Amino acid sequence: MVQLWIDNTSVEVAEGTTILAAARQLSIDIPALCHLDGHSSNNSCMCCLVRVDGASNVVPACGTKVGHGMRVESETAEIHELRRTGLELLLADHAGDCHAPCEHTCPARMDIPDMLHYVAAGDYRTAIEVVKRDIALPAILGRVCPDVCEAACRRGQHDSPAAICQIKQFVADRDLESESPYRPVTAPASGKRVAIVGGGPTGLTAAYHLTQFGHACTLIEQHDELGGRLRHEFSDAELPREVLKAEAEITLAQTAERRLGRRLGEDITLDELVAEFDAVLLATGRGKPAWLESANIRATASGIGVDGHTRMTSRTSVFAAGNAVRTYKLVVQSVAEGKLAAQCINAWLRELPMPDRHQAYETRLTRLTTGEMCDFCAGYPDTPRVPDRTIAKNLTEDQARHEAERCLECDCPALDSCRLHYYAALYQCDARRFHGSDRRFEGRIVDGRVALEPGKCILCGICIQLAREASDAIGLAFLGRSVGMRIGPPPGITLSRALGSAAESSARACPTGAITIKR
Amino acid sequence: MKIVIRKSPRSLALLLSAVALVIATAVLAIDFSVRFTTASEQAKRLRTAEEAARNDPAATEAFNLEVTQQTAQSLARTRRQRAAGIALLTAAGICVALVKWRKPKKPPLPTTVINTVARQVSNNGSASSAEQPPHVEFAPPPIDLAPIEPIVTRIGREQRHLIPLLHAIDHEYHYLPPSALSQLADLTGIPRPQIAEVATFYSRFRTRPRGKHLVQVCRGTACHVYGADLILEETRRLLNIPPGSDTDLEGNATLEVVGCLGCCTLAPVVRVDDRVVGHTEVQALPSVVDWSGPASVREDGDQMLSATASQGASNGRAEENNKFVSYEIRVGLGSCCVAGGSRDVLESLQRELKAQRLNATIKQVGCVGICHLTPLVEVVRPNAEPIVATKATPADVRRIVRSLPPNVPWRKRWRSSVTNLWQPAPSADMAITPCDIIPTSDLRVRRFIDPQIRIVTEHSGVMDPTSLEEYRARDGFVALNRVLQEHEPASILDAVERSGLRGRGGAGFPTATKWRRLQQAIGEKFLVCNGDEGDPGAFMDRMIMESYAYRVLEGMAIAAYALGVARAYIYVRHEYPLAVRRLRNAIERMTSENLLGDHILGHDFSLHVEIVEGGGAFVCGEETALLQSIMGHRGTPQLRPPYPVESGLWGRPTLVNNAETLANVPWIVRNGPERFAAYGTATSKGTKVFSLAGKVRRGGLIEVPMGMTIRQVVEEIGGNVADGKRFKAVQIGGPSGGCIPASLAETPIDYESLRQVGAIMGSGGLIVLDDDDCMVDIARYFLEFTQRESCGHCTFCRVGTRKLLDVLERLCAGHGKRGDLKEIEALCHSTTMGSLCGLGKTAPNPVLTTLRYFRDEYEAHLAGRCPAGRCKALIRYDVTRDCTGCTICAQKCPVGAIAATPYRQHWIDPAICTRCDVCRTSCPEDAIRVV
Repeated sequence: MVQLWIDNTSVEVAEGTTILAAARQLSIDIPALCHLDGHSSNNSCMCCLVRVDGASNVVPACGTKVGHGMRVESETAEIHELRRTGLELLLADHAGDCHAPCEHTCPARMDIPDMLHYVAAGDYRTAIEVVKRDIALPAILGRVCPDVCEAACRRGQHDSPAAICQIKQFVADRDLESESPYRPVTAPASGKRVAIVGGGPTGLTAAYHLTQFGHACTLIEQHDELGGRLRHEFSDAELPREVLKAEAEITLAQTAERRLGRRLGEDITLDELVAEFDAVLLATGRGKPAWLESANIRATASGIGVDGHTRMTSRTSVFAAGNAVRTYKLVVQSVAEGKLAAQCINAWLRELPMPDRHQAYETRLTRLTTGEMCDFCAGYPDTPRVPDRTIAKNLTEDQARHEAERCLECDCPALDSCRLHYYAALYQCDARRFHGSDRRFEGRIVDGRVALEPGKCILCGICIQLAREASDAIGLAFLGRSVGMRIGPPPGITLSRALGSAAESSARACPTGAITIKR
Repeated sequence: MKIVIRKSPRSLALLLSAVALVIATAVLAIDFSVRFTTASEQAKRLRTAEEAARNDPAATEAFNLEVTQQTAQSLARTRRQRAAGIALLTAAGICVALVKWRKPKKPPLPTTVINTVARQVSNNGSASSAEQPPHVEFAPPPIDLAPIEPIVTRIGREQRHLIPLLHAIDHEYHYLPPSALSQLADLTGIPRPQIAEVATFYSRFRTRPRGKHLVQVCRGTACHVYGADLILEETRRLLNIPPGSDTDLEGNATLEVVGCLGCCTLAPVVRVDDRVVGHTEVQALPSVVDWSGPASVREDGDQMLSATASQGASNGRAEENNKFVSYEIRVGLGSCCVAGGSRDVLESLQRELKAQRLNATIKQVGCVGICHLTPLVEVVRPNAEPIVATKATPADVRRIVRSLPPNVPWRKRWRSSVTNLWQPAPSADMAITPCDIIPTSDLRVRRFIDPQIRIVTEHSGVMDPTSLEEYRARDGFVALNRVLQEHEPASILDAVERSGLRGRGGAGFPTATKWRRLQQAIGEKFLVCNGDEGDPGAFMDRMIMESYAYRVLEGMAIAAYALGVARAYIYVRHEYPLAVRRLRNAIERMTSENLLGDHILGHDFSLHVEIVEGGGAFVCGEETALLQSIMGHRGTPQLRPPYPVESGLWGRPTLVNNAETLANVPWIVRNGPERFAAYGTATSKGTKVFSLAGKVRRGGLIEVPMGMTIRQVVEEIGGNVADGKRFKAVQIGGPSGGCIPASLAETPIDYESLRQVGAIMGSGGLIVLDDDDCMVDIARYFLEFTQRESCGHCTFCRVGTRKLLDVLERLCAGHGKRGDLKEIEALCHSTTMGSLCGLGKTAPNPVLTTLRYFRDEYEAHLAGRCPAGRCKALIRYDVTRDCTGCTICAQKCPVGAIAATPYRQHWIDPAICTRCDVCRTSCPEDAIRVV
């Protein structure tokens, strides 16, 4: 056994162990993207740098063997800076979208490709579940949303965007019309009570999510009908009242209580609410209420003043969101606000950390050229979009599925397991540091279920190791050198022959999702 | 016909209109001929009818009929002719338009003002055609796979044979056809991925067909500072190579950029097929890349050898005559000398000596070192001081030979004497060449030679590099004999240790320490001589291997004996064909003399040496990458430890030493380590060979004792920079080294002092820079090199150097941003720390040193200025009022940016100007300046 110190913590490991393994024994998370357990080290990503015995240079932890009495520095600011630079360089050389452009653009950050995937598969129940994770009012938004996601849809550059909003409406309508509409699973009751003032999109959404978090909600609305801005901003033709009513009902189906026709400041005061409830959310819509000053709440030029991080007003336990804080033109923004407020209140009530609104590191493709676009569309149906004039009121099932199949699935299928993304977020990498001559989309090699996207590859060499081990694989090769180096099958060999039975394990072990198996 | 074959819509239209033209012409011609033949007959008929009608009223009917018929015929003919005429005109118009509407041809280089003007027009046309890239690769001919099997049988089927196999296939097909590689995999059983990896790694191997001719533009450091970029750009334009490709559409020529051809004192250098052209000028390029004339087939070096030997033999008879002593005429035949034209000189010397009946032996010698005066012809006369003819050309040969006193009896040379009567000897002032015939004591020679100490380059310019006998006569193999007889390997190690010899490859690791570690290893071990000198701007190792092949091999044999090695490899760049040939010849000769092979000289010691040719990868100079390459893999460096002395070739202990290090060993053994250690400083002993090039007046291969200052090298040996210029810096150590400013010129050349100022000894390239050189551009140049040569294995080197290059390119293009300098420093630090091997770790050195010593230049670039007037995007050429309107610049401008306005001040159009500097250098009035 060898004893060594990592960051001044002693650890004993067997001789011949690497520093990386020793650090893992101490649960020190060193980013080693090119290392696969049980295999020799590749020493290619150079993100696992550590300093040994205070030497002037650093060594990769995955390839350096432990020594007696070694003193290793791992979690120091200087080493972190080096690792961060390494990750940033890899990210600059990694061409792919973490999230699809449509998802990026959507203010509610709905997972659109996922929804389209389930619609294409005919699994509408899972589709509505995906939708309702982020959008509590999909039937309404499907009608009133100005299709910001469709404007961003990459397919729009090729022919015309997928009909995302109409599909969302289709999924929601189908759910509303069904016998047992979707109801989210709620967390066990927390015993806390929350008052939500305002029955507009923000209030409804907040109530929907807070109920899911296990809090007993009371919705207070000055009018007798729910809807808020939805009722006067849209005509009956744009948003039929029965849809509004039905969706609001569904949204509040699990909510504990609603008090309609009660106006804050007249029928009820804020002090009373604060006394009665554990938390109060003001979603009172546009305009500054007159009672604000008397209620001892700071106002800003645009509305009620809140803490940007916690959404709490100057008065403890009173929160505000939506148009009451500042003007949001789009209903979908109100919906996003409602969800955020619900998360903040939940975090405050349960004393959890506030939701991190700092966007995690994302790589994005630069705008594709026409040629690249052709490569990108390869393998997807080349059918045009269903013309709007053929749609009577709603999409038919066939039309919806056809539209969903047109989705180019721009999002990364391996994002959840992407180690590059994980460490980039952990090390707070700067997305724009090496912006410039970034790598571009380089097409995909698709062979059966296996797909290789060379642009995403960070040349770790793991798949080459795995293919070398598989008896039925011809093997992958490093081709070229310098920045032009790529991984690919040898000329004249197909991808599946090159990978053989190592395809599955390669896709699993790939640190970035360059090799994937189609779901 | 060519047009029709191509079947473009245009040619189809041309064909149709041509057919229409022919038909219309035919119709008209037939019509006219019919008219002319029938006209008189018709008139006659009409006259007869009229006569008849006048005489006989009954015939009036017939007359009227005749008139009506003829009128109708006439009208129809007129209509037909009009239609045919219109068709003819239209078709002719279309034809003319289509013929005129051809792709504008690339204009010839300017000769007259008229051409200049005409070119401006066509250039505008070609600019637009360059925008549409119908990037067509010319189709390779079908491939005959039959030669592959003999190649495999000849070379072998093991993995370590892969690179030689690929060399052979490339030699056969001029590229690596995929089907041939597939066949190779089937025949040898080498895994396909490995073949693909190796074939795409080394720059020597091409996966696309090569054109009929190969044009290589050297981009070594010296060539770079002498404007290799302009040469490259102009060659590309001349050869009509489309952007993004390296071969023209017809497959005539392939343009390649090489890291360094090792002819730095002849910069800028272009190699066309096997012919190396030194001191290339942009204006002279059309003749350089012109292969329409007689094929420039060059004699092979080995053939040359036999020719020289026979010359010596034929003159040998004359030597019997004791009354008259023979001259020895030495001509250097190193690669650079040949590139400078020494082979032509040698050939005319042979002819002239025959004609003059002079009793002389022509001897080819190795590198003479005085590269700035080559081709150099040295005549050794007994009892008299030798004389040298510098910068000799074939035209000077007669003058050289006639300047020698005759040494043959009158009866033998009366015929030539008579001939000389009507061919008077050209006098020196008649000669337009810069050839000088001077004694060797001349200061020009002595200043260069005297400060040098020759250990590795002992007997420089005297020895025939191919002759084993001569090497033996000059103390060769004395050291090897001695160690074999003494039979004490340990004492050799002691001697090397006491000599203080350190690795000459760059890092300066004590040689004895490395040797000891290998000696302690048990079992099979290997010795590798590293001759993969990839640094741009360095040619020492090539010269050593070309001129002192026996010395390198003797050093290897001594090392092998001391360390118990039985198998050794020499890894040489493929760009050094002469070095490979001479080493191979030396190995053969030594084996036949039992100096190599089994039981050397009857002792219990065997050594087999094998030459491995590289594939064109700078990174293979790194020892672990080099070993990978010998084993037939990509030259990817490995993490150390384990060091090669622990686990190298096939996992066995392996010693890797630089060629120069090994060439020092025989001298140390022969003269004793103390004499070696007497040279140099406290920590760096002995001498170091440098290739001195760049803006220095006397460039060449020099060997100086360690501890000599940079100033001594540049000013005393090198003779400083040209008049009117200022010595600005030296670049030492190539892409891993740094730029030392003139203010630090007193720095002694030893490992520690150089490291202290941010450079490294490197393998010994020493490029002198003057105030015309932009330091940001130099940094960008080196980084571009390392970036291109990065093996791509680790992140910091692969992407980090690229991103660093992005910033530098931005600066040179005038798009620098605030914070760029900080980013450069941060990225340099990270790359140094995070790279796996020496290439990446030292890649930022040129940037760091220039930033450290020339920060003001970087700041000027940030502000959009290039103080040295070098960065094209930041400069403009301007004609001053000194212009006399001679139109020379307008004639010389290769892109037609200057309109010819005789007797008036000219003007350069900055939009067309490519900043090629031709106008400035050709202006007789110095009226063009860079602003």
